[in-house]
Amino acid sequence: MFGWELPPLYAGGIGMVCYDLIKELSAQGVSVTYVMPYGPENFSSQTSAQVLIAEQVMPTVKNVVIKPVDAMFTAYDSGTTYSTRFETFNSTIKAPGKKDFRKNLYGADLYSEVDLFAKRAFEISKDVEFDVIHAHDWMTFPAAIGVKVLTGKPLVVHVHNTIYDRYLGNANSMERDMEYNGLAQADRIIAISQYVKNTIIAQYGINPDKIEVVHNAPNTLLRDRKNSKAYPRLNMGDNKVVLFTGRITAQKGPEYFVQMAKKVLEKRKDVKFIMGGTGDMFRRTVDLATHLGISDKFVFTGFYSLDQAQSLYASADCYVMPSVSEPFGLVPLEAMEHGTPAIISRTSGVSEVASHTLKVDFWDIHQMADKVLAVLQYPALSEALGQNGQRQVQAMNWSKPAGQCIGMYNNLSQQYYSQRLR
Amino acid sequence: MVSVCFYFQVHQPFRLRQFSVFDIGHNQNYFDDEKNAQICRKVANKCYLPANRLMLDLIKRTNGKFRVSYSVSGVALEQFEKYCPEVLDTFRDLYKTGAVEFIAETYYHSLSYIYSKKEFVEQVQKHEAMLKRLIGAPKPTTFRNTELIFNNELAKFVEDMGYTAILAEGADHVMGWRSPNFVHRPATCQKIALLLKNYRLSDDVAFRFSNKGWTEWPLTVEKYTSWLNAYNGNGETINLFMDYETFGEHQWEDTGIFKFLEALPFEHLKHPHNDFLTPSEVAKKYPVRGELDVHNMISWADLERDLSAWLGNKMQTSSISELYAVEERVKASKDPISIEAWHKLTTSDHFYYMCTKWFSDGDVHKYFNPYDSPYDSFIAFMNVLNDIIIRTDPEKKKLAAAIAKGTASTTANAPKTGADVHKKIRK
Repeated sequence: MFGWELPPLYAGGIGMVCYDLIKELSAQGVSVTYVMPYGPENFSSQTSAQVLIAEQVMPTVKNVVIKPVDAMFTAYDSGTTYSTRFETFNSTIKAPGKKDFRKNLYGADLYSEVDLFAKRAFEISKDVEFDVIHAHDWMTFPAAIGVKVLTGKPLVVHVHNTIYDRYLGNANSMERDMEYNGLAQADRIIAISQYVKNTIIAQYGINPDKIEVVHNAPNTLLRDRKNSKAYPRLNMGDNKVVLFTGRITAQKGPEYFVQMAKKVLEKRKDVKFIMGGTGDMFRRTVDLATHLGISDKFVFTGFYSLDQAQSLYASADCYVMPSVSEPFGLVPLEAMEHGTPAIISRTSGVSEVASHTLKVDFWDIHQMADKVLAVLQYPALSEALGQNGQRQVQAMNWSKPAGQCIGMYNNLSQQYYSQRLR
Repeated sequence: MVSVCFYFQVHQPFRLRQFSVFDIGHNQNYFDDEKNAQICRKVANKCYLPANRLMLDLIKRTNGKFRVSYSVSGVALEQFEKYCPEVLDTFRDLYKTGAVEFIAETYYHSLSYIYSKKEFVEQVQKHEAMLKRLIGAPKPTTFRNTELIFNNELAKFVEDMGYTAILAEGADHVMGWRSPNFVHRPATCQKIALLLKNYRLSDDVAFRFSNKGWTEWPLTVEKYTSWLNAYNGNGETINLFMDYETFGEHQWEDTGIFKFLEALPFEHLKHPHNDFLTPSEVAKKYPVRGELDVHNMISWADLERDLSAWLGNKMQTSSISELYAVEERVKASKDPISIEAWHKLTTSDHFYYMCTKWFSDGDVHKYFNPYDSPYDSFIAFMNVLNDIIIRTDPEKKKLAAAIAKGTASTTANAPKTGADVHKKIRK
């Protein structure tokens, strides 16, 4: 399996999903060799937490072998974030002596690095015994394709997001090509939602029969953390609290959240709006709140830890996810696990499985405000959403998605071996 | 000798628009007229018109031996008058055959008995008047409460209103060893006859008819009538109570449901001692064979056969309590639009839409609702109710006076007749 940083490294949802998936796969008897990029020891950057040595990760899960590959990219990298990190790295490491080996360590840009990773990962996998290749997201595709070509073993490609989500469509054609190659070369594709599957079909012209939808489940580590102790409600006075968490970037619709707040405040004043997280639209979002004259009702937390996240959920009377395009969206499930009513965008994967929520069109500010006001006003409604939502999320786990993967593995390897025997 | 007593429920609610909190105080466009008109016409074409025509035909060909009964809600009659008056023509014709009985119920198909006896009586009287005006039928002698909601106390109340027969569900948990195929008397009553639905035979037609996984599929007329005849000597009346939309809507025409219905009377009447009776005829012909004690409310809904479909969760109970809590002040406001809207909010469907019993992933296909979710239906309902509450605030005398004089914008813009609604739709 080609994947991403695992917890306790925290770069985003994909790593968490990989962690839960391999944990469950191993529980159901599958052996996983996990090839993942990890940066140089003790190297930290603005966007990812402290790097740890791979062997320290997942010590108690059996049947899983981690094969770290020296690589500098992270799951959500774009060309610019990678280049920034590369520059920082180069400037902090001093060349010890006459030979400058820095040039050969990492690729100068994201695509070269992907290429290098592919070569390194490819070397590693020559020594491994396996039946199926399973690759998560586009940056691992070249590596996975290389291994498939070498061994002829079947390839499963797992799509967590596409360029159409990451860049809302305006992407580098090289990225699109790499994504397309992975989809085309794969024997089977896993999409984390019907929403993602539809994008793959519409934008890449892939045969629908090749794609299976495997919905994510809530993250077990976060669930354990939530259950480990009581998290105090933040003191917001007598105000109701409406919460947004996640990267403050175009994809997540932060401006719609602010506009909705303005409309809500027209009807009642005793509401506070908390936006947790940072991102490239942070400045603009704060400015928008000021411009609309409601910045005194807003709290911007900036970067928050996982513990702080639990406090935020415990304090919220209503959670809103106004995403423009959300391949899945695990965050509302975390809020729902606290019994918080959630209002989620229709253009999201999670809306396919979380039925005890209110759905909105992200651009429909009126509708969003109407539903927020209803949740804040009617206890019968917020209790029903809170209790039913909580029950629904608590029943979600990774055994079904892992089971779907295993079914796929069995199917593919059966085909593979029966072909070899002819 | 086995009598078959058919009773068909005919009902369409006035569905609400997704009325938002920003509409409150600005307009009274509570109801989704376009959607209601569209649905009414669709069901008329698929069910009411073809089924009524078939019934007329069968009554004629059997010389009135085939007999049936209907309970048509006031709100359904109102919508037929507005959107598809041809349906009313067919009901009038059915009444004129003399082989059809029309049954009394609450005009708004409501749960008012449980919350306001005063409103209940008003609604029953209004229904009676509507029946007379639109169909020509006289004051009914048989009564059935919304969705066959029933208990001893209700039976006594209805008996005191002068009705001689009442319908209810033959629910297992109250029947025990008793058979629904005999006329009973409710424990608290002296005169009224209680007819109980034979739910197995009713649901065979209404639900299982097209289910290919059913062991008895396909249900032929011969097979079905043999089951009816099997009760000879062991039952007097087989009460087949069902939603009229069975014919063409729940069971589509291509399942053969109309053909089944067409052949049924002739097959059943082959046995010379068999007949079809209306509920009041059953009450006259057959003696009361036993007493039935129903303390807690029963209904014909879901497996539970109780009130949980409408009052099972807090959204339902809180919204209905708030509704009836403002009954007095709404009626005292003398604002015709708000009063009429308030009445329409009593319709049981609004609370049915808020039911969360089956609303989880995987079961969504079982769930039919004009809103996206039970939560959305609650929001629409409460927003409408709050608008009415604000408008009928006794403190706001100026607004009320303006409304009464006709100078407030809301009454001027509201459509007054069906023709106005048609104009709006055609625009």
